[in-house]
Amino acid sequence: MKRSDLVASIILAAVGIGIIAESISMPYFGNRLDSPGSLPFVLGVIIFFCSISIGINAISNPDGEGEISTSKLPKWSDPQGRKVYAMVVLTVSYVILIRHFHFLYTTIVFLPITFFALGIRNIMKLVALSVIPTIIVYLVFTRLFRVILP
Amino acid sequence: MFFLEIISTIFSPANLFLLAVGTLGGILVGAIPGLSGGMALALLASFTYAWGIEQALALMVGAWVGVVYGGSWSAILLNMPGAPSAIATTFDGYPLARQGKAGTAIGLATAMSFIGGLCGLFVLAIAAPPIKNIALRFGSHEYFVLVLVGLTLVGSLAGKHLSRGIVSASLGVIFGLVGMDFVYGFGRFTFSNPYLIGGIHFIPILIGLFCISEVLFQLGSFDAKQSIQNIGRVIPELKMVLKNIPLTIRSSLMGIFCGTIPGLGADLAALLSYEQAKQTVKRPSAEFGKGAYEGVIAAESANNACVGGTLIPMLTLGVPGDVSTAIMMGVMLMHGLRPGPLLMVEASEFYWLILFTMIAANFFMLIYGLTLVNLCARVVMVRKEILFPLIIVLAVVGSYTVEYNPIHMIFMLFFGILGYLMKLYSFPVGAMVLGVILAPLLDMSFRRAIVISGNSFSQFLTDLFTRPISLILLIILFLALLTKFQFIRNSFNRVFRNNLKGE
Repeated sequence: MKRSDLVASIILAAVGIGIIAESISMPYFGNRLDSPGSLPFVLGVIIFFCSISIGINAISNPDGEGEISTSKLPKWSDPQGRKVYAMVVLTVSYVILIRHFHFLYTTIVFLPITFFALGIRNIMKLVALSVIPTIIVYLVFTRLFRVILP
Repeated sequence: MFFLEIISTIFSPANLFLLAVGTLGGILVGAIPGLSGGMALALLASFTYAWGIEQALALMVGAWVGVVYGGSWSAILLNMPGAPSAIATTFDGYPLARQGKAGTAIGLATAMSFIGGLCGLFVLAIAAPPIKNIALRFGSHEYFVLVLVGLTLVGSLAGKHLSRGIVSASLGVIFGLVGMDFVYGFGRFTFSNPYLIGGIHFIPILIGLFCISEVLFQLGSFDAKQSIQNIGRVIPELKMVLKNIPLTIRSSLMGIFCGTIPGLGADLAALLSYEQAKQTVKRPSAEFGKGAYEGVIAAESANNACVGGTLIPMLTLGVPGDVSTAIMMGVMLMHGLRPGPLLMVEASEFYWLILFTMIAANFFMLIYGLTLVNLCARVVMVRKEILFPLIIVLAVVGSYTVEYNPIHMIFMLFFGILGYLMKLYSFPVGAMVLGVILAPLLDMSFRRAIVISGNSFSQFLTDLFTRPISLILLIILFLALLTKFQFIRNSFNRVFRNNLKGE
């Protein structure tokens, strides 16, 4: 049994049931068929049955034979995996901070930390790779495209 | 007069500049392994939000043409396809590069990509008007089935498993339906959250699914050390080009055919065309897989011709056949243009504008390909560690600048992580994007069809099976589901396996 497929099928079945429940609770005016919930209901049913199919496939195919292999969530012990998690944390932090501080300040802090986390250790390189692109992006967007940055 | 106005629009300094920049940028992004065309187009789409449609189209079309071609550089120089459409180019491109013929291979790839691209656009120009006339007869029932066909084909062919593809497309439609219902003004899936009332803008979804998820996915994969081959002379001999014109035309036709069928795409077009070349070319310049120019020519002309092919269903029927056309359609919708038969009746100038802009982009591609390879080829060696943080910055800025709403950055993050998980577990991201883009059309046509059928479900089903066009589309849908185009999948697997063994 492919555990990840089984977990995916359970989650998707729950999502399908949630969509069906939400679409049934939507109001209808005279006729259910042309109501706002009609198409979502159909989609919820489709998602539910597809999730069952994925689940059955996972149970009936214990070795994953014939399956095109799926990747797994990276492990913390794996250096590449650590990079993925570091990137997620840094990106989430960047999005949160950029709402409260100016683009320039946030980006000029985000970039060197991220480069460092991804393995660049040369200080001069870190500074150059952080400052120059930040200023270029800032100037291109604010002066050339005339857009307001966060 | 009409065409002169269109040509003068394209040749205005601003548009020409954007087209030139877009094509070059597309080639460079396409050439870097790991940076997908969808990523480049999604990012660019966000920047064009406040521009005029002509400027937006110039940049986007240039980038699109460039991305498809750019994949050949890294395929030939590094044995790593910069884009999936360049997988078949590696089979003979890299052996040629190892023999010191990288320049000639790139030169031929450029020339034949150019010819293939023009063939695709020529077929688009002659095929679109009659298809439009048929499409004008489409009612709500036909559109409903057509969108179903598009979503199912893309979901089943782009993904490795039918059920996963259908789940992705269905979830995409659900995300596309979030917000105010267009008939009764009821908020669907808003959960009383004011940020969701207006719906989720498709740009943050695109950026999340293509940029953030791609960055995370690439970071988690093995990054091999690369070494680039010498390039040498690039401009191919005229004799060699002329000799291979028949093969280029054959491959282009195959590429166009694959482009017109939603879900097949440029990668399959190139692989099938490569297989066709192996069977039809009697005296190749070398054995296929060991440095035959014909292998590169077949693959490259097919994948570029495919671009014109994919535009046929998008411009005439309003149904995009792959991710790139879905993004292009999104950009058109963002600027108030709805691709479909009515576009060609009510605003035919935009149809011709796209066509001529693509022709101009092909000329830029030819010029760049033949002159800048030696100068720009090192870009394929740029380290991912340097690129990815910069992509994140652009993704955040791109999603924010759409309506200047910080919530779009949160949506982008959500879809980025969702897209990453989908990629890990083999759910096709492209099908979800198509679902998001086509959700309003699917919902509208479904509900209108129900009303036309007298609010009766049995009558709705009867109408679906008794209206000729709808019935034909249902048969196509049924056959597609039944066979999942097994013959195409088989040849895809065969070609891929044979060539891997050949290495």
